[in-house]
Amino acid sequence: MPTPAEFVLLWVSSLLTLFVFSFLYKDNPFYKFAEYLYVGISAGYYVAFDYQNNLVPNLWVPLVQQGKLEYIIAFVLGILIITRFFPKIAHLSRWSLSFMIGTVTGLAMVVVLQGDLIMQVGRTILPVVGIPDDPVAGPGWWQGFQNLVIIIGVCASLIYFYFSKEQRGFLGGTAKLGIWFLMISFGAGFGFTVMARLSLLIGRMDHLINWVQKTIMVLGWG
Amino acid sequence: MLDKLVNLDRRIIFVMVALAVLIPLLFPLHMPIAPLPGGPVDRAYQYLDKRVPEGGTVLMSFDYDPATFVELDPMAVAMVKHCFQRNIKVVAMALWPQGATMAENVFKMVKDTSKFELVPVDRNGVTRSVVIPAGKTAKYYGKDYVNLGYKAGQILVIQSMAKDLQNTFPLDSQGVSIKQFNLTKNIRGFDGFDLLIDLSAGDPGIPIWVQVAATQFNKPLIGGCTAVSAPGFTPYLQAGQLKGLMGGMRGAADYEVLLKAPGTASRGMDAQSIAHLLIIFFIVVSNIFYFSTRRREGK
Repeated sequence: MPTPAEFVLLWVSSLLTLFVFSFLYKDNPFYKFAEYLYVGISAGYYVAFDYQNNLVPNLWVPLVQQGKLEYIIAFVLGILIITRFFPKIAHLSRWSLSFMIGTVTGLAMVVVLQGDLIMQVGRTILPVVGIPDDPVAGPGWWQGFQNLVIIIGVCASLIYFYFSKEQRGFLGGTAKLGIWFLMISFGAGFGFTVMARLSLLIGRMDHLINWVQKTIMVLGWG
Repeated sequence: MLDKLVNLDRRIIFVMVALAVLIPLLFPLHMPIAPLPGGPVDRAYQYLDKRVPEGGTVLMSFDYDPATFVELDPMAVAMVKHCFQRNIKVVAMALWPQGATMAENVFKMVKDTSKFELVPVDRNGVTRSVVIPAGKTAKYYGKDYVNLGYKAGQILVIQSMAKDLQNTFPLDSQGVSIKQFNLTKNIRGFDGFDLLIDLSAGDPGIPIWVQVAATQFNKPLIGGCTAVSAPGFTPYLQAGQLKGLMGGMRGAADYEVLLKAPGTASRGMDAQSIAHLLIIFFIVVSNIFYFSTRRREGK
């Protein structure tokens, strides 16, 4: 049996779900209400959340309570961001943005190169013959065939994006094969997207069923 | 007739999809769910089951929010249950603002749907007095699980905590010092964890965990993600940077089946399958109509 607070929350969330679904019929005031409520609450929530979880522990406490003066740099850079609202001094915000972009680029460049580029290229250089049988991965010839598909797929897809020479003859044929690989991967991506969207619908439907069941239970009809 | 079908009101299709989802939820068909042996989910399950030692510690990052809880909560619940069954300790954290709350919800769901009774602490870090129901096994906050909460900074957080957990997360999600807890007081960095698990709905998520934790620090990493992003992470699995991958509700259902603990994901699979069949039907029929119309116009 839900508590009174849980029951009220269940009704509010279920009604808002129905308001949003009503857009599928046509645009209407109920949908607009739910949309504006969502935007407003999200904005308010994140302002309060960022204040409590970012500004206070990461700036106020170290700077004011612990007296760590180096945090003044972060404070000044933060203030400079706000200058974007004032056209005459808006250019000052570029200092903060430059600092952020520079820092993140410097950090990300190494890890992206190591983690994505080098590792992925390295793991595309695969054996196609002489692979031992594996109880989980299957017979060696099957693993070799899978590796061959990966190698051909990667090379053909890359050749599709090679524009320095007219794509005719062998190059054109390989590029066409690349399109097939790309289309299959886009198809798989689209299929997974449909699955994800249906999962969200299943979640909402499950919630609505739960709402009806709990309401019947609370009213003593069931 | 053909014109009418070609110009079918899309709201009729909406109603049909809604019914395809609703009816199997109300009247389950119990369609079989068969995880692929050696597949991405099986590899995740086997790693946690065989490679993480009993009594070990797992770091679980909840990098998602309520928009995707339907897909990610079931896999989180299944994995926490699996950890508790093997007496593996769970340290939760979040790189998404609402991730800490999602972790709390997951622990609550584990408590409500398993034999484990989770015993929380108060705001001073003192274990609350809780009566453990008969047949339930107690899991204590601070000893068996901890929620470190949310930390802003994305990639910087991972790099920082890899070497210095105590300074990166000095307090847990309730504001209690993590030095007070047996589970976390001696963990210096990634060395204190046997496995990292990232449940991700976007950025920050699996890519930065792979780039930093799995590649730079060579830590074993398992990913759980929304179905939308699963194909994009498959190369990480093939390259061995991920030890396992669960994609969407189907991935969660597979894990529940392997764990022999059916949950919300398994329940949703009937609806998912019927809705997929309906969509395939729509695609086939609409293509037949399309080519018929084109041939007629050609004549």
